Amino acid sequence: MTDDIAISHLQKRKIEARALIPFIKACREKLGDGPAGELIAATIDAYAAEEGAKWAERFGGDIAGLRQLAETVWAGAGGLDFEVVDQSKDGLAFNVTRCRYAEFFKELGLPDLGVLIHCNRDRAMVKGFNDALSLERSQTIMQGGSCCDFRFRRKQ
Amino acid sequence: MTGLLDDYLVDPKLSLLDKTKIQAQVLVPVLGALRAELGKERADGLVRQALRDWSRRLFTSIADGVAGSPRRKWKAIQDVFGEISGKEVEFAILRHDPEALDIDVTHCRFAEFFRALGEPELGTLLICAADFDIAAAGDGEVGLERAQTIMQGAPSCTFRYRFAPR
Repeated sequence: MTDDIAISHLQKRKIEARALIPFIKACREKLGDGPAGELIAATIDAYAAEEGAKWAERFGGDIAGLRQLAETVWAGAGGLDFEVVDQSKDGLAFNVTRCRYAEFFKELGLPDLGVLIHCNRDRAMVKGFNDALSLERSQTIMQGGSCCDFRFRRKQ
Repeated sequence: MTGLLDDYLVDPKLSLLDKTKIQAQVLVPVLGALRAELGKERADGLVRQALRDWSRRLFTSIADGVAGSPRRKWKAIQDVFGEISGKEVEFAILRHDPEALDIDVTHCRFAEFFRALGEPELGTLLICAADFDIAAAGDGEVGLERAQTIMQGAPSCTFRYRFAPR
């Protein structure tokens, strides 16, 4: 529907969030935080998996493609600063040291919504990108960590 | 000149139509999930309330940032919004004088998009409603009536602005 729109990933996420935030707040009031969160997460995950599949087509669904995705899309237009810790054909480890996505949600005073609609979709994205890969992450800047430690690995 | 609405647009280089498409792309599936949970009527009611409140607050806050009379606030916002939304519509000005501005929009790409998507009400909330929230900035000095819109299935949108005597 919007594949042809030239815009940075950061700006796209901000535009989505502007419309999603009032919607999610209303859902939370009506359904309670837990059920609203589940409903939103399930939908965002499906959307993220589709996005992951499209990115795999564009960059190739392997570790090298994943790195290219992180460098050109996620970090595009200054969205992220990150340092690659390790890369092999079976894994990619990098630490995000500055995250403008987190800064955006924190400025709005809504890092919990940032976790829900931004960070948590990464696992579903990987599933769509290449289901043979997995993502582990013990902390994120959005949740107050000093960095986001992305560890992508080929599943055993 | 889009400075006044930079925050609303997020990225001034992006057209209003594309911005709205990005929002629809993420809202439509979430709305679908909510309808499955609550039923269409309750879900749509919830979304209507949430998006109306959001749009009202947004334009109230933009109007608060413009100095001068309500009429001046309305004009400042309308000039910018008219410029960015006007790119996506064809229209005819039927009357323009100190008391009234009558515009018929005869072709609207926002309506085409949302009607093709089968979600004209979402389009009404995300786009059409803004005209009333902008008119509200003209508090008491600018009035808007619009009997029909293309988004709702009519052949034209009939904007009828009325201005209080200065």
